[in-house]
Amino acid sequence: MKYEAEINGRAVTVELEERDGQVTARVGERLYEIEVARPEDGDYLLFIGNEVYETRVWAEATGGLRIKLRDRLFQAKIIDRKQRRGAADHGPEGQQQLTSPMPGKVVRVMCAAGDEVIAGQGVVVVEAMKMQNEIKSPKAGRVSEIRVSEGATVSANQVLAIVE
Amino acid sequence: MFKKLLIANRGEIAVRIARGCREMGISPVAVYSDADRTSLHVRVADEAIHIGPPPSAESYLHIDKIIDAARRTGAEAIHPGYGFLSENAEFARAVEDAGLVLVGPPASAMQLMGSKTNARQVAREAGAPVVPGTTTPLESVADAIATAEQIGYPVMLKAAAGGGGKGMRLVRARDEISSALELAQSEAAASFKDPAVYIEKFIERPRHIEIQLIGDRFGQMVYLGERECSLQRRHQKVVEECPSPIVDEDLRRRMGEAAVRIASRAGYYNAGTIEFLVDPQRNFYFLEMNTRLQVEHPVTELVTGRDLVHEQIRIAAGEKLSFSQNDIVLRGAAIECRIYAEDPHHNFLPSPGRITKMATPAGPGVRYDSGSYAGWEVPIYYDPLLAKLCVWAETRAAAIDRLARVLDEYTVEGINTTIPFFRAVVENDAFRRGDFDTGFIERFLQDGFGVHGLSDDEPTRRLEDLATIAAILHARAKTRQLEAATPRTTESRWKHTGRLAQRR
Repeated sequence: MKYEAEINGRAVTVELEERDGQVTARVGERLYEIEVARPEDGDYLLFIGNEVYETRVWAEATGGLRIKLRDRLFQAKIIDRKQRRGAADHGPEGQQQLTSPMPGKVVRVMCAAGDEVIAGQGVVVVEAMKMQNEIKSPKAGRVSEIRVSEGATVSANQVLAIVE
Repeated sequence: MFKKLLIANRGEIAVRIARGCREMGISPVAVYSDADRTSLHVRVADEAIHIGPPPSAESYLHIDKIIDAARRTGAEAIHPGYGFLSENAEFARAVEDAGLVLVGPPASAMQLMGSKTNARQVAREAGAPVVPGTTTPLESVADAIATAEQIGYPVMLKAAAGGGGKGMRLVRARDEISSALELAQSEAAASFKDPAVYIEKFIERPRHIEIQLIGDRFGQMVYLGERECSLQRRHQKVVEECPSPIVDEDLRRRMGEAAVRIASRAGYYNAGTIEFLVDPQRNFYFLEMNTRLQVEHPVTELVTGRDLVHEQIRIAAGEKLSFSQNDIVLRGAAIECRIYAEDPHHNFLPSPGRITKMATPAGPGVRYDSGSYAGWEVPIYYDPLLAKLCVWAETRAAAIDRLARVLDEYTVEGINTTIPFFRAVVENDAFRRGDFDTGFIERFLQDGFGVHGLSDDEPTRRLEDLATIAAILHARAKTRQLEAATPRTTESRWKHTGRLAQRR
């Protein structure tokens, strides 16, 4: 199977086959023969000859993956080809959703539906752990919808407003 | 000795105090808000009293509810931890009035040292060096200019009731002073309901070094060495160590004796900390006093071998200090990292949420004080401190090597933490040399600390490849799990779910 991945922001293509815990993978020009064990959920123990690499993988609230390997922490996205085609339709033009980067509480709504905004203008302020975060419009346009009100509790990635 | 003690706090410090209680045969009582019903500090208690909704003002800061909780459970003493009500003299008085014992200083000393201008006055009277400046609030812009001219620019305007960097303004020249004073006063009024602002000479590239004190009610006061707390982000400490790499026997004795004189003059007892600024020529100046147990007390405990919480409780129960100054010997070096639920790669954005899994470090020289566990949801309402990770070793260099090893063993899954940030700090040459000041972290972040170990060499590419492969294996496994959970029939998911519900 062929996969497209993004690891710490770098795009790579990986060919990977697995049979009975034996993985053959080609990353770019490098070929790996790996024996894989799974001691616990999310934990992948990779054996290459005498070398052993314990990798822990978990999903982030924002949808990406985190991988801990020895003294490194990586961020990865595995991109499905279908998904990528879909994503290409949403450029910076058209509708933009403003989402909360973290769970928290809405402490201020700075625009109303119908307001014109400039790029970088604050629309909603979300507070968590005594830290306030201003969610800004990514582009100039018109606020077509405000989906939260002051005092509301929001989760990570929840849509707060839409700018057209 | 007390039989029961109420802990008026939450998170890691409440757990740490409960541990101290257990070791002394005292039954720990917890208090909790709606957001903390299943938090670790409740799980480790014998009794737990619900004190209200999540916002601190309606729960952990509510004096009457805390006193009432102590009364209802028959607790004889209250330990306030740090933060919340720990430096609130009104609370200290309320505890005394209720016939209970506060594990801390007397309300009078707390009040006196809680005001920065009064505390500076006390330090001066005690013959301790203070940063040149005023001890009374500034009256006017003219007053500010006259004082600044007298002590020389740059100067710092500070809120008298301040803390945490609020109401502070740096002034480098005369034409900046009027607007800076206005800003500092309005910020002070907004944050502390007190617009009083005073002026201090600004010490360039200072280190922040503090002395741990503990004293009993019989006038015995001892200093337990210093803590190096110069590594700060936005005036919040992030890494602390004991001893300081620049403090020698002589400086330690001079700072320690000055600290003891200041606290004694204030009529202080129990644990407290005197903070000093130390300039590049190693002159030290009194900064302020913290009238409580500090977050970073474990590094002192590791190096002195003394348990500050045990000692605090014994002193509160009316016992004498169990050691004298001559008994205090510093052995080895300890470093603490404050592990926060923040994303260091995105400007330390708060990262509350569910901790899905956790691997905690162990082995020689590790001390882990935590208020979190796998499966726990980090609430959005409170300080983001998850845990304190401390190491001890024979020397500072060995402690740093150990810290690198220990950070690599530590994984918190589901939320972002500051672990990768500390992993990068540990690699920094200036940090390893002990060559830093309070501006170190800001400069370190400006340089872009990036991702530790990210480079283009062969071993790194190999690790990156393996991480990618593991990520793909994980994504495949999750897709397969999802497919297995979805029936391969043409009937609708709704019908299927309905049937499952019926079967239950």
